[in-house]
Amino acid sequence: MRLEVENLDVALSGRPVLRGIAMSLSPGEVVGLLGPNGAGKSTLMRALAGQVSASGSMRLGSQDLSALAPAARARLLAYLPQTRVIGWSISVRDVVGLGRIPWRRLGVRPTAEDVEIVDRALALMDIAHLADRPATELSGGEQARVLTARAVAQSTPALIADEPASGLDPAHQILMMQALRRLAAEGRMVLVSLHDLTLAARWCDRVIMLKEGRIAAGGPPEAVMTPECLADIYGIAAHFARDEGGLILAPTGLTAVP
Amino acid sequence: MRPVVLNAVLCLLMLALFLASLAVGPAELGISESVRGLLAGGGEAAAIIMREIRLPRALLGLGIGFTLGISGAVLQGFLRNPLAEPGIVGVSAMAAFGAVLVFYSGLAGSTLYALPAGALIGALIAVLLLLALTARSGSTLTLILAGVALSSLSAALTSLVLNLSPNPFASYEIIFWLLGSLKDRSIEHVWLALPLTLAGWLLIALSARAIDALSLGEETAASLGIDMRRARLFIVLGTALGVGAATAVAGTIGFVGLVVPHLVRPLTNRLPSRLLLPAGFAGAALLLAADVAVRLILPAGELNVGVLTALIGAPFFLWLVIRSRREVF
Repeated sequence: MRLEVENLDVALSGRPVLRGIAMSLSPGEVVGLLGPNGAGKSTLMRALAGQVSASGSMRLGSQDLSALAPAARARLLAYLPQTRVIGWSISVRDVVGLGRIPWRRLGVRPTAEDVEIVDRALALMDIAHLADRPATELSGGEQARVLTARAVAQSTPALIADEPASGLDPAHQILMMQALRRLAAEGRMVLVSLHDLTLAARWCDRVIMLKEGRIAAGGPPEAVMTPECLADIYGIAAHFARDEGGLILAPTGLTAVP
Repeated sequence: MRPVVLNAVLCLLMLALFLASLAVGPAELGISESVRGLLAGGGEAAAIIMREIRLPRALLGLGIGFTLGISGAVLQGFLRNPLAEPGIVGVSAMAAFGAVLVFYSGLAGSTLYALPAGALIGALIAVLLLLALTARSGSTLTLILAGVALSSLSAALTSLVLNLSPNPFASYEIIFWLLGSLKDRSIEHVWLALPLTLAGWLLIALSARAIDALSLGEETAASLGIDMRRARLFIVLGTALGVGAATAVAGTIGFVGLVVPHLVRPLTNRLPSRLLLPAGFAGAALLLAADVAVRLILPAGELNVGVLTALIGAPFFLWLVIRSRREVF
């Protein structure tokens, strides 16, 4: 089952935001969605999640995503929005349990399978020890992992996460990326938008560069994240190094006034 | 507390207060006399008092209290705002205005159904306006602002009617009705409110999943497969049917929907859907208790239950605002 996007156009209040997007995702890979502010990363993710209307084709396996009812789409694709909202002081376990909503019938108690999936999501995000704490009392990094676990518990083949690592300290950023890699290793496909190029270079199998609503480049980080590409898309220069863990990329300065 | 235990306790409390409401009144009836009057029937005074005065009053207290409690709980969950209550979306105020118009036009005296019909039409207009105002965006902020605007508008129109009212008796009647009371209602009022109330409860119950998902924000709720337009329609319509019917037969009874979810929430796991049933039971218990209290405080007088709930509820509301400010700063 692959996610295939072809010829996707999105306009918000009449202004074209995305034009001619074509991309694909395979099970087992973590794909980073990169690009400066306003390039259309969040809009592309919202379009995939069915939250803004888009023209073009979006298919997951044999299913046409745009033709699916919201509940059916929610069983195929989980979406983690950028803004983290936890409305009431619900326990961590109950927040993660909300991810089971697409699979549950109204008024039916959680099944043993629901409980097991929630337990696995808690373990995967390394928050099992927090399960009974009110989610609102946790730190920002912990809340980010709780909400990611919520999306994991949705048990979908595809996960789309909008800047899940933003606002986290370096250790929590690495923990987040490791968790996404584990999800991919389980056979899911993960699309993650990132602002941190160092993280993207090191933890993504492939990156997709957006610029002004179009895909400017796509491929493995080593191939795509070149000095020319970074200068063109972000207007920055960077220091490049390499070790056994992959590419090390550190922005060093501006090449042009943005 | 486990949900089953909590619901059982609150349900028993509600039933106890229901019986208390049946037992209290100016006519000094013994327990055996009351039970006989309720069950045996016939033309004797006890039967008439029990069946035509106290039973409708207790039934309305239960039904309206349940409606106000569950409506407050669903609106707080839906708007993710602990200060929300049926009054905030403007439905109560529009229903009251509809009833006031009926008073003013003099139709109120013509048939028993004129006044409730006026209130219901007011509530329905409020719903249609709310849905029209919020049709373009699913944002809860729009709904709150629309509700505030609608409340102010209906308050202004109600004042206008009072101002134009030709004789002081009409104004007095209107004001008295606006204060909210369960006194001197008949079993016809119960039959009138019942179907609408039940429909409202059903629509609210069907929104349980939506308000849970909304705890994590509108984007996440939509990504969990919740149809936001449908959820909004069900919740607004369900609240309007229930609160409209309640206002139609009992006038405005405020603050029950605000206070009850706060009292019950700490006893639940705080998932909005788990609050609905306990809030309904607790709302019924609270209104029945208040209605018993007004009969005991001033047995001969005319203290309206709406006045008592407002006297208790408004300071509570203020305390909530102060507390929530403290959490922010």
